[in-house]
Amino acid sequence: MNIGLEAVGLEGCIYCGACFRNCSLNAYSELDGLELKSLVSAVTRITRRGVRSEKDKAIIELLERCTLQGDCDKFCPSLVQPVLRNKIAKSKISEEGGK
Amino acid sequence: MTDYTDLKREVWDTDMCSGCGACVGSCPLEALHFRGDDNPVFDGLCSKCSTCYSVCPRTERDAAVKVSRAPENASSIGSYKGRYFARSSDFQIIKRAQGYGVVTSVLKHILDEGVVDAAFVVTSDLFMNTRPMIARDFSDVKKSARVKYIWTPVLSKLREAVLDESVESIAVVGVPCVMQALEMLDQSKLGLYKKKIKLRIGLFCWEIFRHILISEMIHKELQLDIDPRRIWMFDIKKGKLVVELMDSTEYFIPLGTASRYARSGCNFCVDFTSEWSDISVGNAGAPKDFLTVVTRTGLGEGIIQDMIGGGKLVTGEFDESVFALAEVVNKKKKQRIKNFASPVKEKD
Repeated sequence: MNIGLEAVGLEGCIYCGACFRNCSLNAYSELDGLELKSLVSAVTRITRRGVRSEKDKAIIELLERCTLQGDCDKFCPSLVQPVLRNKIAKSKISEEGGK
Repeated sequence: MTDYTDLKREVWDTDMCSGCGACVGSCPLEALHFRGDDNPVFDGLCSKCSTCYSVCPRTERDAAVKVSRAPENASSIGSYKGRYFARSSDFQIIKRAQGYGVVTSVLKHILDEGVVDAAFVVTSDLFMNTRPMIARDFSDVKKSARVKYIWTPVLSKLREAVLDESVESIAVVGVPCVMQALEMLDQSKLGLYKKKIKLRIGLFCWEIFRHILISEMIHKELQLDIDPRRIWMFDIKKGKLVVELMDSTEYFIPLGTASRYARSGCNFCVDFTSEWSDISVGNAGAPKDFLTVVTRTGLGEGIIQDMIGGGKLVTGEFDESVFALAEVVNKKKKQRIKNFASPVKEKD
């Protein structure tokens, strides 16, 4: 499932959290700055390498809130495509049985 | 990992902040703001992404870069492709704008020709309260035509501009610290900003004056009480700050005196001719009725050549008086470089 990974532009990510902060569904409004950073970091890791630990359960729950609507893309200052990233992450979680 | 607290400690609290607004205008979580104070304030969330720190031209890390760069340029006005004495060929522009209409004409040209589809400029109200604005056509540009020398955190609205999906390419007009910050943005990972900011038009600048001190400066130094609404514009000519009123009356304040009303952060700037721009423009070095125009990149040179070829700019015979400017710049640079040795002590 590495198809599309290059197109996401993960190497440009500055882990600012603007993608989740600007979610049009307001799904992540309770997270503070460092939590946003941790979430981006974990989703990026899952996107790259899949689910690795029990700790990812919390991240998976958070990611389930994402409907891939796509409004977050335009807020990324470093031209990462958060929707595609989340889509790949969700796909990897699904492939691995959502562990 | 750096964040706004590092910026606060290194730049804001030491009065080194140039007020360019880059940190405010690039914070992805929009947590930095100017609220009438000299320095930005933090109010919001911080994810420690380091963006604010990485775009600041005054941090310890970057100050070292700028200072180390200075000696190699000490005998010049920075690298350039071309040098001109120029003015607008459009009398209506000259009449309305400042500095013989060069910048206004360049903005008109690049918007008309589609080089960019928006320009980031500064406008003001009748009380000379300035603010950044996005100009999309010449009628917008005209609103910015005579605003100069009053501090405006130009880049503080930059995020708004780059997030505007109707804007694909932007030109930014600003003083040297603004150009330095744009260079820092260009070196950062902020691809969205790099993609959209296409042209930098830099202004010559010795220092920038704080709005709050304008009336105080005029009252104290000129012994006058002038309603700001009567001020047509500020200009700098032959070592003096010129206050020109609507009725064309001019008052002069020696720059040495006027400097007391400048932003303290200006003392830490060693760039007076916008060396990090594509095109830089200023009075210094120019003969009567012209401005000095320095092109520094192929893009900038191409635009100026197009304008000269198309009769939009009139050029004067170039002489070497611009070297006199280089000497002045050199001397000033050396003075300012000393300020970097102990910035906190300098503040005292």
